[in-house]
Amino acid sequence: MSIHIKLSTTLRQSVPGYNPVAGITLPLEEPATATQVALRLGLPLQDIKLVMINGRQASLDATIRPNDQIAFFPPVGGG
Amino acid sequence: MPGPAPLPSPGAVPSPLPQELLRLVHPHLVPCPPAQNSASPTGPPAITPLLPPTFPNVASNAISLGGVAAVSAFFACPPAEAMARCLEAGLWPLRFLRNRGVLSPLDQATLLRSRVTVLGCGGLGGYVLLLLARLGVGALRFCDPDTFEETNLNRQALCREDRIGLNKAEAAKAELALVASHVATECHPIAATPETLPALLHGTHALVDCLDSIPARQYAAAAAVAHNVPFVHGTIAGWEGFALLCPATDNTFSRLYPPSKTAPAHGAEATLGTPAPTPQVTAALQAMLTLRALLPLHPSLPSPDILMHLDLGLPEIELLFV
Repeated sequence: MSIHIKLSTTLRQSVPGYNPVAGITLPLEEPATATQVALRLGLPLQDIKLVMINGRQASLDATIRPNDQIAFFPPVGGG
Repeated sequence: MPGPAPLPSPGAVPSPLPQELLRLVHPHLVPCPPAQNSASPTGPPAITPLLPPTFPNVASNAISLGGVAAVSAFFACPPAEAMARCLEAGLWPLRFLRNRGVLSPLDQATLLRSRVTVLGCGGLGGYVLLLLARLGVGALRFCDPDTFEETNLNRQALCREDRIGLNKAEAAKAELALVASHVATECHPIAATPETLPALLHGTHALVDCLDSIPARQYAAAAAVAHNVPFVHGTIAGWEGFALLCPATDNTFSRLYPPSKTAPAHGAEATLGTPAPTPQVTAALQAMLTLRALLPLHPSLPSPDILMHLDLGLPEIELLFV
């Protein structure tokens, strides 16, 4: 069982070798929170502004289950 | 707080142009094939012949800029209103003829009678203003306190080498006068702040966020809801862009960026920069969302409350529910 993770903009720099096309597939046997997944990847929690689970906005406390797709976004303010 | 003047409801019966006027504009009519499809169910019913046999049917013609000027003089009304009246009679202005496949005559007339406020005239704002003018929005109000710098030349549609040092809003006014002189422009070389936003929002039908700081966006989104105006958010960093339409009644943007004393002023763009294609495509998404706000019954425009996430590096546009 696994989950699929995508990272946006500067968060990609926190995971060496991150491939934006493939994303990251991570083994997950037990439910975990989005925070636990982020820490497992080494993402700086203070830089995470948005969490999307299966295309819907969620919080860092939300539970991630096997086969979920999760995306992390930092704040973006350019115009 | 009362909202802006309501937009005209589509589906009204076409109003024929007076025969006297049709004789006046006849030299300015250009034959064109009638529309083959109904662009939108909000379009008018079939056009009744308005002209005597010596004149062609208006549905087989478009009217050039000179004809619009004649209609404007005849009715003593601004050019945008003159074009709206032509459209109500089924007569397309030549300048908008290529919109005909996706907009009905009454959709186009509604746009010509709409006012949109654009906050920021830089990377996103320059493209948004040009797109809305070319789409046919009749009145554009815009603000920006900044002047063009050399670092803007990589992406900002209105930035030219001879405009370095000029105010961005003033440059927008000059450019719009060249591209679409019928647009009623209101140029404000000021920042969007809690103090200035009420006047910037007065009587407007949509507010487009092309700002460059997160706190300014939070102020603007809150002000839009307070004035019952739809809010069109856009932001960029690197190859990625985001666009979201918040309905007039719901500050969806605050779900992305809740009010916080620790909110950062800037985000990933400070590290990744803003290369040329990203503001152009993101501005196009914002223009589509602005159309949705102005034409709520149109059958083929994007929905509100869906965050569009553009990644030009892949490339893809992902739809996220907030």
